[in-house]
Amino acid sequence: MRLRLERRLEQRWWHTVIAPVGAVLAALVVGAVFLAIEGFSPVTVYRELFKASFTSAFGITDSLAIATPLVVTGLAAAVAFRMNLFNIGAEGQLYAGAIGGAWAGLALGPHLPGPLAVAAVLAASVVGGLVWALPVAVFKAWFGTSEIITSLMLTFVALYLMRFLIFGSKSYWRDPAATNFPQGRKIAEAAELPPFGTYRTGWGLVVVIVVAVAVWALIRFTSAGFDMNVVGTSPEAARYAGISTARVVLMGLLLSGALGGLAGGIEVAGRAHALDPNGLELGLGFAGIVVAALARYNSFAILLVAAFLGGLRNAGVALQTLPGERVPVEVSLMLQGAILLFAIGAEIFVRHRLRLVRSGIGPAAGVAT
Amino acid sequence: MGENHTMTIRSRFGRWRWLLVLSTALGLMAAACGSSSDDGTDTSSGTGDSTKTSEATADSTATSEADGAATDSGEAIKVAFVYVGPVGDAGWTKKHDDGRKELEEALGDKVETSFLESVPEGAESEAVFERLAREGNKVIFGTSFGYMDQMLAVAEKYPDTVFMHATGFKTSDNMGTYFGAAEEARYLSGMAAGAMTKSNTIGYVAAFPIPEVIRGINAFTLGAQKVNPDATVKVVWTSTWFDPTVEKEAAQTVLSAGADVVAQHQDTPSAGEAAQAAKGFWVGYNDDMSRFAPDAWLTAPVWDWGPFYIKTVEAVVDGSWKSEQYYGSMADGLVNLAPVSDTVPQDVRTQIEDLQKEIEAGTFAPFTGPVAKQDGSEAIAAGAEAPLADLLSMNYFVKGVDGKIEG
Amino acid sequence: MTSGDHPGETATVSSPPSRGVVALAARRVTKRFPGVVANDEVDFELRAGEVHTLLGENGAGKSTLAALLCGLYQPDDGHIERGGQPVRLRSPREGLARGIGMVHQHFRLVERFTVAENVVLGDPAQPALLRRADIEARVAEIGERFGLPVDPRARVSSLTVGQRQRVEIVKVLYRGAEVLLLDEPTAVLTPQEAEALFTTVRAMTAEGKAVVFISHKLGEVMAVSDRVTVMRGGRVTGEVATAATSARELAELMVGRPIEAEVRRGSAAGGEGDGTEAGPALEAAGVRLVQGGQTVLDGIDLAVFPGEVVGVAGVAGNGQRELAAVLAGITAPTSGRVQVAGTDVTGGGARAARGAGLAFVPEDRLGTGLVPGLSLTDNMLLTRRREFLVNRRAARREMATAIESFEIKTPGTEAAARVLSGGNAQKVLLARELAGLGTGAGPRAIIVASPTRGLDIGAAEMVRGLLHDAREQGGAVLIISEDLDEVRSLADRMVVLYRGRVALEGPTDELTLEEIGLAMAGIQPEGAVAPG
Repeated sequence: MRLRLERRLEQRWWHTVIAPVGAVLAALVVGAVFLAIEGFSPVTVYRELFKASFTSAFGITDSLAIATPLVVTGLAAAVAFRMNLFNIGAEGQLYAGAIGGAWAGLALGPHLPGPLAVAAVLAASVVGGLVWALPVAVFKAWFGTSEIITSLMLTFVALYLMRFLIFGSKSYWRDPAATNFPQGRKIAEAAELPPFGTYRTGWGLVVVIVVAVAVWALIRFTSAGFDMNVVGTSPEAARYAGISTARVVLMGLLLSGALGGLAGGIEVAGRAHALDPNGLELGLGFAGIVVAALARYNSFAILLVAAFLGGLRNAGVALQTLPGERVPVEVSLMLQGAILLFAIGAEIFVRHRLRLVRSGIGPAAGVAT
Repeated sequence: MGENHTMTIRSRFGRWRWLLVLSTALGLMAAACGSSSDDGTDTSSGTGDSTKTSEATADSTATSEADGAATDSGEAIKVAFVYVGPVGDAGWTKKHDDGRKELEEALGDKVETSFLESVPEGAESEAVFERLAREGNKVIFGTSFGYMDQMLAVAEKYPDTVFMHATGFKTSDNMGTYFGAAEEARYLSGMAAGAMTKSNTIGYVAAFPIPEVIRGINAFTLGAQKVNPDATVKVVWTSTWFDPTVEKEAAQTVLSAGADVVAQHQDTPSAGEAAQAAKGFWVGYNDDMSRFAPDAWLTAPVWDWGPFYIKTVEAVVDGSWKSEQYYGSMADGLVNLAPVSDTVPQDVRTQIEDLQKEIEAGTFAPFTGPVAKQDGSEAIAAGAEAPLADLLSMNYFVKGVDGKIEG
Repeated sequence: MTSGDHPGETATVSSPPSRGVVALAARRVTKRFPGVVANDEVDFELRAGEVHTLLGENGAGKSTLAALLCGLYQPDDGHIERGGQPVRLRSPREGLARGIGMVHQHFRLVERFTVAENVVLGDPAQPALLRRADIEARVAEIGERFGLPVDPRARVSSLTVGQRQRVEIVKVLYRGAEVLLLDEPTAVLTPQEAEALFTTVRAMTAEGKAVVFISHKLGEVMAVSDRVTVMRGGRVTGEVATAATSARELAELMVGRPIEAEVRRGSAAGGEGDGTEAGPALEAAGVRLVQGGQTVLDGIDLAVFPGEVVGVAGVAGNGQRELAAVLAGITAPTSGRVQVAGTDVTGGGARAARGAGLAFVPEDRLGTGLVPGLSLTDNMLLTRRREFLVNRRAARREMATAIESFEIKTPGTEAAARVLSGGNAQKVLLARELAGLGTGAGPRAIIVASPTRGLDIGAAEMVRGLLHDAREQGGAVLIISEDLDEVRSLADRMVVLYRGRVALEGPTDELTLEEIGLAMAGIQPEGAVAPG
């Protein structure tokens, strides 16, 4: 007697909702146990967590400020992952995008009117992301080199390049006035994405919502998106239908990279306002993978999941200052880790079902009808 | 630019790197949280408008008596600390947190402190500072250079709150800076290293080529040469303040290149572990780290922030606080030398003690001419004492340093 | 002796000649799976010394019954009897311990091991230290006794499919099986190999062993079995003595209604004459394909003219799959040319071949022909020319029409293809690939791989009809299949592949089964001229 996973013949729509919601709930339950063992009151902690991030204008906007880049890095991961292309280098593409975006903000920003200057930053960041994804895409498409390895390695290259530009050289991006600690030059004010009033979230949020809708439409309504779906779910069918897998893989990875780069541009124009390694090294690109996984690669779900994770991250600080119940920063880390693990687990249950079988081999053909 | 003090930037990314390499999924996840910080939470849904009193927080937990007491009566002043690393880093952040504890001890129930650890620098930190201000903290200490612009922005919005920024150089009416002359203790620790090296090569594992670090390396080199004119100091850059693995690897690099003593400008004790493994000696930083590598331990320049924190908060309470750029020294106790290990010969120990007394008395300064640059040209004329402004923007190595400032 | 209302079951009344005691029986066994009653109060009796066939369409429940009989499944109701005693078989191993052995359709052999090693692999009765010589001697002895010649020391990787099957049978015999269950054993064999298997089966029954033979091929059922139990929809619809029935009667028991006149290969009026004048719609000239250092296609010449059906037969793995891929443009040939309706499409990819008028229904319907995760509408678009934006409206209308006219069972046009059964998937594929046939826009040549494989009789009938219509409308149809019966029943002309070469070619009616079988086995008949 043993348990066996069987592929589900049918996936109902509610599986796709139940899975991530269940994952989050299960993670919260595990987190509660953990909190209780550590001597915290789970009820208090969760209530504070919710209050801190989702009940006031400040809380919500701060959560959304964190969610903003997560939407784009989530889309970057989703576009690639749904094609079974594991571009885990959105982090590096974000840095490359930030380098490109900051350049545009410095070089073009002063000469352009506001909206155009912002557009220049975003466009340049897309170019940066594309450049960074190009080797990944080319090597994957034509030589079959693992995109996991190349994209991860290039992430480190981007990281050290960005640090070099600010810390290690007197580059164009470095502020010559900062004689003590090296800093990035501030981009032109016109090139900044304006905030909403005194809140910390701003037009960047509008941009990412538009981008999310655009990505959805691209995949849903264009032939390129159709091809990506086919290549992603059924490479055999793609070959059969004469869809050039190499071309589509190239396209998918480049789109993913462009989105990763755009995240960098949005951070530069929206929050950092300079090529600021410290303000950019937040793991936003990697977090996008979590967003994409929880959202099951759905553009609209990504918006919700990003807001949720933004709130969770935002609340991490609130939890640290709870009087009497100071929750260490590791708890919110643990909670997010648990959510990912459960999300992956739930994914398996959506596609498969668990059955108890007496030891034996495959199911009889008789079951098929 | 006269009063710019230097900085301390600690990178978030390095900490997560092992995760990345290890496993994408989990690493990614964890990085997701990037350590959870940022914030901007408004806990006051219930109290709505009471942004600047501590009621907001009190309300949110309902049960906290401490908070209840802390409200309008003004008896306890709320003080918050924002740290870039974890309080368990055994170095920079731990010493600040030790200072916070001293503050609590000294002022008792007149003060109520809280702290936030692992708060990333840059844009995301702004929400953290604003939230602390909204919660009614009257004094907020930010202990990393990279909080500078964000603290300044929030300080403008909350003029009734005092912001104190360690290692920065921007001030306003309600924002001051603080730091100290670590070079004094660096010089003394260099003497211990110079006395102990047999290969005449001392390794120095350092974070970034910035004036604060360069100044420390130069002072350390001059100290080493005082007791051992043949000593040279080999510098390796790590580009990180907090990354045990990288720090250890860098230490191993200089050890295998012939160094038999390792000094550091980093936050963790891992260089010491490398030195002990190689049967070399080690000069630490920030705190008495002797327990991590007792055989290798010589001494370390250390910080003692407590007295300054007490003084500052007391000044805020009695209304005498004014925005300034504080630069502490061995004389006022902000900078210290950890007890020198018995491994160091008694005569050298005595020499160090004597010199420390001179420094405290103001009769000796580490950067007193003649000091030559790496290429032999004159840096400080014989008999002259380098002015503070020169020290704070120092961007050359003295003769005897084996290394390059760029890269 | 069961439920059912078809007059055919009156055949039950003629009691079969009982050769011996009841060796194995199922008594009113019921087995349910979520949403399905796979076996519904099934009675089945196997006597020592007989060959008893379980006949039924896919999904009729015969494999479930076999699984119950050998211990792979346990019945929800009813019980299994062995030698007259009720038994509980909790695993195939327990079944084997009671002398019941199953030979599966898919072999479970370790390629790197020798025959003897495979035979004793996992045998609980073996001592920890194997005595190789003894085992090999016994394997050889069993082989000789039952007409299963195998070299005990040969590595399985060097054996043909037919030889591997013998190893599987030797394996259960070695472990003392008195009752053997053979699941679709002839599916992978040449006619000659199948005939050899039947000899083996007879040798076993002569020794008093009992054999359950699972099949849906009426011809071999008639040839080999003593009795036949027919199943449909999880129930037994009849049990008849082979001597007292006919293939037609069995078919009617299987389907549950009278069978219409079989769709035959087209009449001579199929328009061949016109086609030949127009030139071939699909042509391969000197096609060679080398993959991984192996020559898998070795100079294939082939032409299919409008209005004719050409069948490609052969034992699995002799290049059929690769030939289909090359002709469809999916794989570029190493050398040689492929033309579709006169246009050279060599190396141009699948789109070039399609653009020239080729349609292709692959063997793997869900996964290659259809994308399981996409909707039926989107699957309709898979092989169509698409503009920058995808036009789903037309595709949805087309799919809706197809659902109606082909009686495709699906929740709707937006259901994911993965919910389709094999027959419905094949209908969707044909609807897409044959669309526009006979009009100028439709395909000129159609490649169909294993068109009726795994389909129930109803769906298979419809597919045959569609292919027949395609031919009538002037399409050139190429059927590639490992199922010889399928090829012979559909093709006007046949080509037999052996090791990537055309081993035999000719009009179906003029080729004897023996000739074809020899060609499939790679044996050149005396005096034959190697074709192509």
